[in-house]
Amino acid sequence: MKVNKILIANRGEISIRVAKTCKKLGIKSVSIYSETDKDLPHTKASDESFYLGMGSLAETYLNQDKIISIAKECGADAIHPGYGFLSENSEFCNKVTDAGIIFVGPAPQAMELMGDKKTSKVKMEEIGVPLVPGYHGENQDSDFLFEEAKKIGFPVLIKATAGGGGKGMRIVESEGEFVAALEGAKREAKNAFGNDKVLLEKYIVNPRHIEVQLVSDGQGNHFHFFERECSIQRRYQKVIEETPSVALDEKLREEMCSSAVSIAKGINYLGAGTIEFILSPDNSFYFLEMNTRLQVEHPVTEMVTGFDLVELQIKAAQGEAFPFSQSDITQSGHSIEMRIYAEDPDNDFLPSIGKVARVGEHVDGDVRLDSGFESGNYVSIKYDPMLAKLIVHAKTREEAIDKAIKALNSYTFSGVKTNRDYLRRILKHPKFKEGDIHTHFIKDYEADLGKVEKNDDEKALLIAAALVGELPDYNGAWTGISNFRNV
Amino acid sequence: MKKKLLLGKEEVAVDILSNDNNSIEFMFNGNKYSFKRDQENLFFKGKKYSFSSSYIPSAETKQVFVEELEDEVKIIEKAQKATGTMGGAGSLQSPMPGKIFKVLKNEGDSVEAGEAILVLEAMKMEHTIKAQQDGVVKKIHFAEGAQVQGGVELCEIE
Repeated sequence: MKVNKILIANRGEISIRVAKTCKKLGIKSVSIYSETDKDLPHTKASDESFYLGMGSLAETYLNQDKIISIAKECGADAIHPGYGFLSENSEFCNKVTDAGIIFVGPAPQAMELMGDKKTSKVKMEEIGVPLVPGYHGENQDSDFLFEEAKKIGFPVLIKATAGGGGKGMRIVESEGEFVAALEGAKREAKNAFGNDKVLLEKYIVNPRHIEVQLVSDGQGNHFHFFERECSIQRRYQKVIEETPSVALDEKLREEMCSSAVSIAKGINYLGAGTIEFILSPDNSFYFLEMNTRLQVEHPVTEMVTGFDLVELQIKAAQGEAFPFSQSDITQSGHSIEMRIYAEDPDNDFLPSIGKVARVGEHVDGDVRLDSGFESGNYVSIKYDPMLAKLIVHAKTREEAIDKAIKALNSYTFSGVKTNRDYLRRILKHPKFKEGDIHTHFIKDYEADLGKVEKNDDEKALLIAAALVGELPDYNGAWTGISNFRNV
Repeated sequence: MKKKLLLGKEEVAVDILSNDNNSIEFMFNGNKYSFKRDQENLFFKGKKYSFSSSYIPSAETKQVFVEELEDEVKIIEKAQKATGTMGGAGSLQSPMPGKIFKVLKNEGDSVEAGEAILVLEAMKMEHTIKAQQDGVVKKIHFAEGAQVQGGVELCEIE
């Protein structure tokens, strides 16, 4: 089942990422592109590139039949879906397989099982993976719910089952407050949704987002590649990811990783997947969900383990057994990934569009830039505003943070506004430096992460940088780009 | 040579004493600043700072980067001219190209400053266009679903 040619059903940085590994393995690669993307470098990173035409996402990157017909036309024997788009779409996975093409990912059954919140939770209970303690049943009697709340342990979260937007939601700190809070939540739920049914869940104060990377080979062997911590999030969007997590000691790491491997075994998984856990400050952890694909933040795992996860995905898809054992996989050093977005953090994170005048220059071997853009490309409003992932690797976390801040300086992505300065503010925050982070970090420290006022010397430096060498009598018609190379 | 600049959102005045490819000297906030320049480095108070800049034609702005600092610099005369052509105080403009996702107010409605009037969808995100003053919605130029360019007037408030 040797794969000879892979069609990459994606765009931007992940398309380039997959093409790199194909090249390394001597496999031909094929990329696809929409009208908007015709000048992006992913069209050049592969051996062949096919035009999807104009139109919406449904007509281009999500057009299953078109993508499969391109694969047939060019003789691709496998399709790699990247992340997002069709990567967790079991219908696509089935269609690809039915067309006699290998889908680089899990079987559609595993995708469906884990993609559904209900069926995945039932399966997790069966395997014995901890879920957030709670009551999701029909009995709404207040004495009964009080007993359930005591079983769960305070603080408890009361949530309207029909809920959303915080309505009908209460955090109850202690037993004495429960009955009044329950009545309040029910009243609010009744008014807002016409339904006063509630559920109870353990409320986890300052939770961390810890996920475990799994790869299962083509012969039913399941491996973990340790954890990633992704607690720095804004509106559920990850911003900075790292590995190892400072929150885990050897024992907890072993417990979480074994738990993740037991899931892969329990569902007979194939290929790369990620188990997301919530970690409470008391070291108890709970299953959140499984992502049945490669993650955006996979490079930090590659940095510390030295494995190429895309290579392993392809080998698994070919049905191969991996030529190593779990104990051969180790963590070395510390890696941090920063997501550079085209947005203005000091203006309500408004997306920024325009021409990327200059991406920046590579400086160091331990710094990796995964970007779908090069100098001169246009950032459009059509797709995700992520410009790049900047990944650093160093001996210690402290050194990695220093390296991350320095690396940000060398990739300006000038021409559009970016969140670079905001990333620096997070990296320099004393609580981040201590590793004292949780998923509400950005919200809790919003005030600290605001724009820093510049002193006069700093202002003068910026003014000098803007004006130096300009003609003395010019009046705003800038002579253009000064101090510029490689454009 | 006196100049008024916008540094980010702040208006600053400088008096340029000398400026060529290798050095610049100016007065700013009552102090004299002198910089030497060697290619992409500025020398200031005995320290070396690498810098770069790029011009964004659509905004008539220069984006400047000095080590960890970054900001935008704009010649103010131009800035005033640019906003002058873009409608009066009661007009609200699209901050970027996108689609009108929701129209929340009708023409003739009274609105308070800060109240949401339209929701613009761009780059998979929603942006609420809010009234900047109390008044009455005089005209809404687009219906839900309309595609709009950046910098166009979306509605007028009187």
